[in-house]
Amino acid sequence: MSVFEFPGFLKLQNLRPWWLKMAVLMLIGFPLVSNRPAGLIAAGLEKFLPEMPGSILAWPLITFFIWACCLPSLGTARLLDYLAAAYTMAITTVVSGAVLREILPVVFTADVSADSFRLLRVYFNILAVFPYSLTFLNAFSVSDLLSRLTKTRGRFRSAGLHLALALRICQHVGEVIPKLLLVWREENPDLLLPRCRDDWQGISPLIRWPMWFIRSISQWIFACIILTFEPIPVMVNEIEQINESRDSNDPH
Amino acid sequence: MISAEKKIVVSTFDTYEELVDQFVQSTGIFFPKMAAGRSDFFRGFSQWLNGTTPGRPWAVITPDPAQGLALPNAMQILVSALNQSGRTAGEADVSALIEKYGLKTTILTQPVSTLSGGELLLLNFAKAEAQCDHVNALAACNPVFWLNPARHKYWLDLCRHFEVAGKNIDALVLQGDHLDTSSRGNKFPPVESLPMSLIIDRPLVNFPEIQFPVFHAASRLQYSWACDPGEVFSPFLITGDNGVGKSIFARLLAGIFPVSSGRAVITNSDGNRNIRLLFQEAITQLFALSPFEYLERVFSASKELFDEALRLFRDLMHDVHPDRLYDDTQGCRSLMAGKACLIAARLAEKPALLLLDEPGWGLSRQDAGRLVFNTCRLAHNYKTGVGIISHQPEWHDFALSNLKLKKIAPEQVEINHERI
Repeated sequence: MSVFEFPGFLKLQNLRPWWLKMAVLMLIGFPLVSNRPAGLIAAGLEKFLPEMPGSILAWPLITFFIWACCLPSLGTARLLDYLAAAYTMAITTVVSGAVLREILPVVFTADVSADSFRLLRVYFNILAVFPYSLTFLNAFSVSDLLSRLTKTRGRFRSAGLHLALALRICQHVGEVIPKLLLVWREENPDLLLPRCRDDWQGISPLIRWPMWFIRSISQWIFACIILTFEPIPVMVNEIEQINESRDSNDPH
Repeated sequence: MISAEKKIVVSTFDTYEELVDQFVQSTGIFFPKMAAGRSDFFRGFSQWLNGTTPGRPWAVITPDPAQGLALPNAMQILVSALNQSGRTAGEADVSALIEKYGLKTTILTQPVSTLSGGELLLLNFAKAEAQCDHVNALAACNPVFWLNPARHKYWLDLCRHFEVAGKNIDALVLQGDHLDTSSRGNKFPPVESLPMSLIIDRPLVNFPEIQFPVFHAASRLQYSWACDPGEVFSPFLITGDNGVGKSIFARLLAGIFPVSSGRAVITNSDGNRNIRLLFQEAITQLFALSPFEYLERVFSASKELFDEALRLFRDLMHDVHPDRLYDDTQGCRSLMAGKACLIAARLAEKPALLLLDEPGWGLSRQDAGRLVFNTCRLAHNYKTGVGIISHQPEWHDFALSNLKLKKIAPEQVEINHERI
């Protein structure tokens, strides 16, 4: 089984030192927090390709740029996994937004095209933010950070230990979700339908399925939170031990 | 049998809940009882957040060995543990440590979440040794449960290491454990056999390469018969050494892991092929709900099966009245109740086969025997076979067929069938 291998220097997790990695990742993610890059791209497109709708094309281009930056680090299979989750989230958000606009028109602006543009932007933002944030979180090694902290002292040490704990908790979410997916698949092989649904007859699934789906989402959220929190006390115990071991190794 | 040595205190408990309470009291580390449901979890977590930190540093082997490994892979866990003593640990130090406890260096970059129970426990041993210099004691819960008897020596090696360093060990075990010299398990009458047809045609499972965040090479595992038996008899046992691929085989049979080539099919006398599985980490299958909440969720669209599952649950738990299901935190929200509820939910659907991966984990030997015996009794009424996946020798007396898995090459597992 031969898999295309990207050169190591393109992989963000290999960048050293850590502050360079942080700077590069922040630079890649800049278009997600500022409107300026999208504005510049839109202006450029409208100037050189006046027949193209520049302001609409700017967001897909930024999304593709972020995917391209994440691809060497993640590999094709992992990126596609992340994109599957991102597409589900983005479509759910946009469709719910569009339905809400129809049901509650007062809440939204009168300008339908401005609302549509906003939803389109949200859609591409989710598609870019999801893989980017997971790449960002996993590009840093908690183990390296802890090793570095065991050799340092001073006021940054305590803050560093807290940062390591927070980073590890965020990373742990990525380990909990595949575990829960396996459990879910054993229980509901169709994934989006309950395994046992004898009571769903006639048109009743039209009402019962959305209720089941919403309840399942709430249970997924709680299960994710609880299983993510579960190892925190042991993590904290280890971090406290690192703190104490350094104190006891200090000459005074 | 392993004898308690000097400086090793072995405490025996009848239930997982009592063991967890003692672990929390000794170490000050909050450990949730997941079968008690989400409100109990958040209450306990909040108490821990607002409580005081423990006085003395401990190395711990938690009641669930996976929870004691806070970093993503073995390399990071051991580097971090070794660095606590102030020296810089290299790859050679880590490799030497992991090989000392019978593990292969290929698991160093493998995600912890994909390791088997035995591998997790041995990794905990390696980590405890790495921490030995800067902790006062080791608290070890069920430290040999996941190990094949041939690997119990690694526990003795760890004990010796702590003894030489002058550190204490508190071993917390459940009744009937190998470290519990006070009592033995109980005998159950034989269960009537149920023939099942099993076809194993060289099924192959591929595990793709992981590139991110740490590279881990692709691997594959192929199963084959040493001699095709055609028929196996329920209850049957799937056994073999730690890390041989027993749980992977169970997931392959249950259709959770896709087969890349070949096939593995098991059917009962009705031609039913539906297979359900109770994971070795069964506690995760409760989805952070209490047993009754779990049954309500699974059968929210099937009232008839809900009633059937409730009846089976009460039969498995004997004395449980429906009114107690919501309130009784000691009985109906225990790990035993959690497992009984997971089994009842699966049996209610009348599958061809119910696979129980390490059913004895978190239960005293007496409770485990009773639960499995009652499961077989109820399952056979539905023509549902029962497969037990375990390396624990006590199941040999109980099973009518034995499927022994053995690695004949790094990616090849051979299955030997033995009619007991």
